[in-house]
Amino acid sequence: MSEDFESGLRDLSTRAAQAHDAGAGLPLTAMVGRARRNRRARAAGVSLATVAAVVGVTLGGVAAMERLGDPAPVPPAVTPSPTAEPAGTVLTCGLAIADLAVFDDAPVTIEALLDDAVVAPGEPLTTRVTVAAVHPPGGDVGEDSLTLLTFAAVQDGVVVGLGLGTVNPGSTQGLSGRSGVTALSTIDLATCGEDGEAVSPLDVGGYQLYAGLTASFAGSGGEQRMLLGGPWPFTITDQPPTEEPAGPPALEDLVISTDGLGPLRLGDPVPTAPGLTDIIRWDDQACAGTDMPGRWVPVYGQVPVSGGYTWYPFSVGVSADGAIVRLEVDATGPHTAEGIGVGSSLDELRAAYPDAELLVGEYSTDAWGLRSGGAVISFEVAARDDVEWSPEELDHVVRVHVLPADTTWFSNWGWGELCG
Amino acid sequence: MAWDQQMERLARERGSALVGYAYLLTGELTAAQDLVQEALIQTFSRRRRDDVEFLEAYVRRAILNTYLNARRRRQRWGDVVHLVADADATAGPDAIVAVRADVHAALARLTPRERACVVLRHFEDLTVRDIAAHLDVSEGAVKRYLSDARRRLAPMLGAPDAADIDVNTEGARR
Repeated sequence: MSEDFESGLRDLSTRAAQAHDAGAGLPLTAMVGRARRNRRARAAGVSLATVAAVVGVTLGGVAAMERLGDPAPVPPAVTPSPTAEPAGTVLTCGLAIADLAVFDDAPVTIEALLDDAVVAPGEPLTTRVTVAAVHPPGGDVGEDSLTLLTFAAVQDGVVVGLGLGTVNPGSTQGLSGRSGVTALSTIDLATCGEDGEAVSPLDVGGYQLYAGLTASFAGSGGEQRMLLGGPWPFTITDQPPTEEPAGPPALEDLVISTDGLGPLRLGDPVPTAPGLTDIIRWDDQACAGTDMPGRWVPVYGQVPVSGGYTWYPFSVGVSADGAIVRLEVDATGPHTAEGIGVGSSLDELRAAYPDAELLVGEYSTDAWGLRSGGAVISFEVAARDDVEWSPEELDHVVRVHVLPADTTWFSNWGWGELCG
Repeated sequence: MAWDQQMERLARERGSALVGYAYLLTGELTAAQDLVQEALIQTFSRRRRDDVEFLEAYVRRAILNTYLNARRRRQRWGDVVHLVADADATAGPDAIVAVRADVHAALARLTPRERACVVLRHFEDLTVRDIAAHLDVSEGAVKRYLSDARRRLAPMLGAPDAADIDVNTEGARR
């Protein structure tokens, strides 16, 4: 096989090169332009490559987000120097949002999903912030752009508090760093004092959270303007909750069965309108940069999963007509009625399900299955001493599938549903 | 020569070869072109020295890293289909595939790291040690990837013995 195989590789490569030559070729001008913008942005300490001419991006005291794990103490929030930025281009105490010099046709969007919109005084807001390039025409969004975000608490359209964010780099999920980046951010909000300085804590009341990024962009005529995300309403209250707020069930409460996962059922349609108890939501930015319009993602955000990765606790496969056709659980928490889930040992699995059959054993996992009705639960167990498994993962469940029984695709470790 | 001139020259003179290399990793022409484009931009967004003779090597390394990183982060359902598709279904009407549908289908059955190891070993002609350095893994891991790849490829390509994909020798095969 070897000579023939190597010959085949060379043939394929040659044909691909010829097919490439027959086409339009590489877009040299655009490529050089992107590289040039990257170099400029890098030189300016910014890797937001949609920025055509980064001019004096000044962070100000509240702008830089500390990275988790940094032993340096979090500095108090202060208002940026009024001489550092043109008026109306940074979020400052007393500023009217309507007066901001906002970039109308922004090449980048900022979105945030608050984990809890009701917090106690002094309690930070936890949110997943996504900075994404608009497609088309697209562009690059580097992880560093997250460190340039400012946060503001707004009442009646006026900034009344400022926020100092922290970003967890371990939770970032970019699209190869090209089109968007998401990070878990913890924001300590401080109220504005009379002298314009921010002091803490933010008072009890209802607010709107905004996030801003100041820079010059192509089309802004070289002027610095604000990219603004928000508003995202939140409330600070010192009253204990009188009743359990409605929301999605805890991951630990999701039960895996041949019917599905928690409220998600194989064959059922995905939710057509968001509800408080939905455990998935449509994310139209999740596949930015691909030809996919978006994907359904769990509302729980990203968590540590098997293999040492950070990813969503489960994935949902949806058919073209909107029906759930496959569910994959990658994190601990969800479990069967017998208590088996990711992290369970093979011994525990076999004890709970003596009739479980070995569906397929290849590559780096064995798939043990339970069939019932028209569906099957496949437990993927780290089965071989592959280099990717930690000692703790070996012989333990690393992924659980719920899928139609007529499929033959019971294991797919190393692969998974990300876009689509 | 200025960096942008170097970039244009490399893309113009070696772009086709780089796309051919990337195609072995992606199995799709457009994805290969995207990969090369991204790798060139990455390389020249950082490079400051005029080490022209190594530029293509840098770009090839960037192609490999971008491919593996992207595969880890952006797999789709559609990608998984390749794992279970048979040779006929994978071949399709693509004119590139038509020339060696068997090899194309065989590559499609490999995991990204296995595929990278096979391409580096049998197309780039690298030693196991060099592959390990490229992928930042141990030599043992590379041998394991190559061994697993051989096990999967053998039924499709009719390999009669274990020597077809060499996992143990230090030197290049050819």
